[in-house]
Amino acid sequence: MTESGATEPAWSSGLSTNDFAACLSSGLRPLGFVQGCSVVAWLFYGAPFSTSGIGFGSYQQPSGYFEQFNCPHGFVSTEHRIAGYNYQQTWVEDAWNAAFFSALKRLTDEARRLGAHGVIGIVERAEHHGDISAFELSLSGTAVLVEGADAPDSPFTTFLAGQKLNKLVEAGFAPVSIAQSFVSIGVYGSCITEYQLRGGIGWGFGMAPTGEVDQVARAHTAARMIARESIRKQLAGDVLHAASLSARDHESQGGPQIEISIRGNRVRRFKDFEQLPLPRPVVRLVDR
Amino acid sequence: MNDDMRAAVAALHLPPKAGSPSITSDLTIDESLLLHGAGFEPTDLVTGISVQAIPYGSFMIPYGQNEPAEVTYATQAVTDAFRSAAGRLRNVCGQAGGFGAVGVEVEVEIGAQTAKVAFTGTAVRPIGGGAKEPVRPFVTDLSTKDFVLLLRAGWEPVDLASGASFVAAPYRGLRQSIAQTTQNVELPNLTQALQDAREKAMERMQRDALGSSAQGIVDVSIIDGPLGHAHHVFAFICYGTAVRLVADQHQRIEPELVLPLDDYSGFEASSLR
Repeated sequence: MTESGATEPAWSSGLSTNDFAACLSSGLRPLGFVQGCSVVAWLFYGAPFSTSGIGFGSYQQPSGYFEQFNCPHGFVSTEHRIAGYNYQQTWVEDAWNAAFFSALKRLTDEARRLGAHGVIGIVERAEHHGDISAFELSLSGTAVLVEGADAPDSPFTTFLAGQKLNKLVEAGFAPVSIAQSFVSIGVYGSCITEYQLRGGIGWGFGMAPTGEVDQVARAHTAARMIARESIRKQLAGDVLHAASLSARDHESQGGPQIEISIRGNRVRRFKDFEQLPLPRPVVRLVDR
Repeated sequence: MNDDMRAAVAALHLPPKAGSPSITSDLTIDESLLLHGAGFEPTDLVTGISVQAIPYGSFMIPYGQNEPAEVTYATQAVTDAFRSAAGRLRNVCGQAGGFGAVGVEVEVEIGAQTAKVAFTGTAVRPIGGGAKEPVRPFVTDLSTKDFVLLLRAGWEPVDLASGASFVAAPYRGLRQSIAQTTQNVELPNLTQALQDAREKAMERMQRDALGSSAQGIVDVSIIDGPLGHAHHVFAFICYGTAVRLVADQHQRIEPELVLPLDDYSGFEASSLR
């Protein structure tokens, strides 16, 4: 017995009061506030490959998406770029994936130790620490027990909680896990791309070609498509619900670095759902 | 509810149904249910992006210019970026078996040398795939709620119509500049530039909508103001969903009046005084 007189040990949770009430009403019992985090080195962008495809020392051969953009001018000078490249930076993605999946595993391990069936209301925090060249990813949420249910092989995880989670389940979807994908593509501009990004050829030789910056647009498009396909592979026939796509582009290693991440809730249909009647439009007679 | 939750956890012991497609969507559960109620289902998260070049010097004003002048390269770049991004989104939507993309988020970035437009939305189709695929998938930035309401009123979205204009404000004369120092008065050169940009962009957006056989545009969004890297250039970018009537006539929606009995009566700091 605790000092306060309670017959059970106290638990903690990251749920708001509303979410907490909804959680209890749907038969979920909070067990504890669980966390998982990981800090990885985030040192290197760039192109650690040889274009001939032969690895050298710590250099890697290109893997994943790779596209070459040749110079249309022929030989101009030794300083003129004869080709540009878009390359998937799998070494950056690996670092991100290591952080995410380690944090997720630590979160679910902690939940499992509490005897939880799942973790709800997960909050993700991702931060780049430039001063120490590191990337930190933390996940935290509330471990819950479903009253009267058998424990799943692995606790489910979801960003949802409260009414949103209840509606999801009522609509016939079971939360399976949070899902994320991250893609990093580096752009080493061809001569044309460089002119377009700089706005001109330089030395008073005239304007850059107008129109699409094809190489950059293709890199953005590829990053989005690869991110979507990557998260789709994790679904294995399930549905990704309430996904969000975020894009970050910055200059590094002399060219644009494009990073796309998609995150959402992997859910599984467990019962058929009747089509809802269309809601009735109403006007509320209140000012606020 | 408890039974549903237990059934949901029990389903985790089983693999997903064989052959079920992996669907991605950025819709919330409310939006999914509403869409389902209207006879549609999501098929995939779809994107379209375009990056257009703006040549160096495009934003400079010739010395002595005394009339607002359009920055044609920037205007063309943004116009083309909207068109290309929408075209790419439509292609991806068609590949995903979608009849159109709803809730499209529009991201616009205008730099000194590039204009970027990115669209992200969810491809949708009639439940089960529908009788026949549309020739041209629609694109709309309307939320699911507005999309369903639009359909109910007998209209359908056609495309995302857009218009853009960048206008450089002329220099003030020396006498005018000195006279306006320390006075909070209207700056007619800037007002005129913004007004010119607005008129051109709105007209282009309407022309764009007419080009897609639409009858009107709803939910127009506006991005306007001076550019960060060229303060004397005013941008006016507008976009909205071009719509057309598919029913014989507009279906009037009669909302019911509701008087909620749970009026807000929360804590107010002013009551402490």
